[in-house]
Amino acid sequence: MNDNGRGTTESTRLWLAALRGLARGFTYPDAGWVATLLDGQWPEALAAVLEPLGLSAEGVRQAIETLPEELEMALQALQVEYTYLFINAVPHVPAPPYASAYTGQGLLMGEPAEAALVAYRQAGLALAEDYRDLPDHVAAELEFLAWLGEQALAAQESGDEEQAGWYLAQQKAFLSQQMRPWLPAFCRRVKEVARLPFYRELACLAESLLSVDLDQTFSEESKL
Amino acid sequence: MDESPALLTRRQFLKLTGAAGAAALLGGGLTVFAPAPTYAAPEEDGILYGVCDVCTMGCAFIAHLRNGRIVRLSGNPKDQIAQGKMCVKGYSGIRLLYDPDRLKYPMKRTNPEKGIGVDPGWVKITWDEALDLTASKLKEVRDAYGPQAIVVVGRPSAWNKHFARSIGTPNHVAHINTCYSTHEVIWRAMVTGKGKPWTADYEEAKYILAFGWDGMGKSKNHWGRAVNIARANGAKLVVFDPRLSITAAKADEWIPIKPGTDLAVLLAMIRTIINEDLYDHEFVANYTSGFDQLKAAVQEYTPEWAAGISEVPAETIVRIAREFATTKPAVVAHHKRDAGGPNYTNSWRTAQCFVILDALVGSIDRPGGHILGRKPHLPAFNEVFQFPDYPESCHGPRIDGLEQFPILLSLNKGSFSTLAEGILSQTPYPVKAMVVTKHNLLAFPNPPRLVEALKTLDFIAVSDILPSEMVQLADVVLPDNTFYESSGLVAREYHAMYPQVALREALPALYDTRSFSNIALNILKRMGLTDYVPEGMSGKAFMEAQLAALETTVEAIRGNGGLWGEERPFEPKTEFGTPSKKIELYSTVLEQNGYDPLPRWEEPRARVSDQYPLHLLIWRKPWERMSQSQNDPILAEFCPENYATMNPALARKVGVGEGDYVWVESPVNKIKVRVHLTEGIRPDCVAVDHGFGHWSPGLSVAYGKGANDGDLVPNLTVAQQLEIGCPAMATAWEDVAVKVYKA
Repeated sequence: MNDNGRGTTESTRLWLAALRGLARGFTYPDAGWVATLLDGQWPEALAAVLEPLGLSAEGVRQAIETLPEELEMALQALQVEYTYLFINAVPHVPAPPYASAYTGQGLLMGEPAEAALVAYRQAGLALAEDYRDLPDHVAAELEFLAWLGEQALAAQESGDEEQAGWYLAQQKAFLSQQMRPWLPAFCRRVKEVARLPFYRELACLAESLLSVDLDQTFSEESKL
Repeated sequence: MDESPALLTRRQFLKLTGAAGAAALLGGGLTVFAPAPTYAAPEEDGILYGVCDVCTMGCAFIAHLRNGRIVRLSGNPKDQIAQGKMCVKGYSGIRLLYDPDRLKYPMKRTNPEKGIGVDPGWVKITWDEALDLTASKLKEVRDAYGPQAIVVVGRPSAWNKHFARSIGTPNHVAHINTCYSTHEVIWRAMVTGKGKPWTADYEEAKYILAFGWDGMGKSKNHWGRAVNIARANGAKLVVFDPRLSITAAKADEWIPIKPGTDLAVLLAMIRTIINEDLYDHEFVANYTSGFDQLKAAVQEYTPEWAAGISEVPAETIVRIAREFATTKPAVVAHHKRDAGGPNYTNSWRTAQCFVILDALVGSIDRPGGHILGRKPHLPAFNEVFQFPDYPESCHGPRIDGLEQFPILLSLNKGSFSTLAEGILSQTPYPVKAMVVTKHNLLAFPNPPRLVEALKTLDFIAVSDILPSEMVQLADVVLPDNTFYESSGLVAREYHAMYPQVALREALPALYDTRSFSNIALNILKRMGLTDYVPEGMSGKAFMEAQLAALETTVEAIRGNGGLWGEERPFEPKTEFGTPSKKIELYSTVLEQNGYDPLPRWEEPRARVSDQYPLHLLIWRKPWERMSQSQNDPILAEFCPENYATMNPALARKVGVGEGDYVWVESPVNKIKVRVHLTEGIRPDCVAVDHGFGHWSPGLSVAYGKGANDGDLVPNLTVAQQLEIGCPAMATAWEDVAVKVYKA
């Protein structure tokens, strides 16, 4: 992402959009969002941003097809699965969506949570008043990663290269130091224990999207 | 490039919306973040004043924060109880706050089937849904069956009581008859007119006498220190206990008494002290009543008679009695679940003798003895908030039969032993719904029976911190705050030589958890009981009224190191809370309520026989504190499971060795545990430590480890409790005969 070429910028935008989608996917499902899964809007948009990047949304699309057709039923299926995987479950939450659960001492709100909070603060962000979860939740970290990239692009567009460089450096550091130490383990866990294919597919997608080399990927010729 | 129609569509999609549009659609307007008002530098290290709630001792602490996270705790040096220290359980409390298994959001079950090992199929819901659902179910039950069909199970706190009474149910059930009801009833009747004193001035004592009391073994921060200081100053510690407890191991003398017979030894000691004229004449004459009747009543209890019952030599009984009466100050240590705690059906008479011994040597509200409450006046709930009288139905008959035990009823706390049979037999009426706050199934005698009872209910809402066994049976889960996430003022009680109040400041609540006071108020509102939730009623308003009564502010207490109240000289009380204003050795309160006013020998319930030849003993490890500590991975490493602790002589008879599995079987149930051998236990006893046998798979550390001692303890009917005749409805947790055999 060190190039101002239009194609590269476009790829970056698509990658950031996909991160936004992933963040939403790892957030508790509500009726409005599940409706966009069932009517095809969400998987179509996902495919539209993934395919130019050489990634496939087919797995996610097929996973959505296995959901009940009726909104209420699909919503309940996803909510029960989300609660089981990530909130409270019997026997116990198999895939806690927090960095601290993988890299700390098995307790939540460990040093990774603190590091995330500090990174947010340094970027001028605070957790929103109505956000009830921990700072190192997968959805928060994904959204932050996307936000940093969006800020970098906006700075570039307004010609502030220094500012853009700062955001890009933050993004790179957050990805390599905060997210990569735990995301692969989290994704493996989700793939092992998920009962619905939907979250398995999201985990696969997360692995692909976060394994990109920021210096390489987006400096190549655009695939578009 | 192969241009499939789908891709065309996608290109068109992108053309129409652009990547930004795709991001908006994919992200669904998700906003974890808000702009910080200004560039926010990492937060300075800060501190928060708190009060530990892992056990009820309530040590005041200082939490050291970094970026809003508690990284370390230290005891508050200004607190009379903590004196700058905490115990292993207290320091471990952080791991409860950050336990990954914590209940994080309100949830409801999607699987209607309930039971041990059944997955409730939780689904996260909003607080609005959870509160609406709970309120509507409670309303349905109230309208169809009456308010008494709703049971509230929880600590006897002001909010819990207000919640139950506003609904109009008499059924607010707390745990004290498994824990300390006998002490409460006896102290209320004989000394205080209220409950039992929690402060004992062990540090100044020269002779500490204990019957089954293991205050050091329970790692009670203050007592461990105070007893050690007393001993360093030359005090003698004597422990009667069938098992070499940690306190007994630290004692000058351990006397392995036969279980349930402490009462006999105490009666003989009282007789010795009186007959040998060793009692404190001045104290007895000025501050007690009924001495002559007492003297007459104990004449039949000779040391030789007591020796025959307790297997403690007569000369030992006489010697200890003399030492106790002539070494001043002397005190009988007691707390909960000791010989005078409700562990035996005769525990209330044992507790009666504890008070008498203390009175005979002048150790009630005197330095070195038990100190009666020195709490400042903090306005009560109904002084702070204005609401109508509670409905008459609050005073009706109860599902646990408590109203048939008038002294215990006046303490207003409830009975765990009789709840299951009350529900199952629908006596005196059917109950249909239950709201539980922070009480677990495994705290009840015979939990499998209670599970059967709870399965008959139409609706259960549970407010808790961890997914306990009770939570597994819930229809709605209301995630509670830990004590780190709630604020308030906590008067010093476990060591209050002068009035002192500790400040509890709240860390912002993690996840979407709420305090039960907030939950209760919102349920009442949604049930239409708005008269009982007047404008402004909140935990915060309650705290502000209490601050006003102390003529102080949070800032002022903070400035004073987290505590209100300056040390002042100790002024011994000269009047007590009984009808005669004296310590009533002959208790008119017991008499008026139909109980023996004077102590009398009574056999314990358990009779060993060929079939069940052993006495069950129950104890708790120093780092073990029920729900607060059982899921802690580090504490669990100390001891991953519990044991049947037995004497090698018994093990040889049973044919087992260290580490073998055995069944411990009582008339109610059997449990499988490993054997641990020690010489420090009578060969006619087997001891099981409490806090294991969790069958809630939600507790990832505690699940499936060891077995639950309470499974061996019979639950009771109200009729059985009446027949036993204990005014405190003792659950008699240890008053059980068992057998042991190789598994």
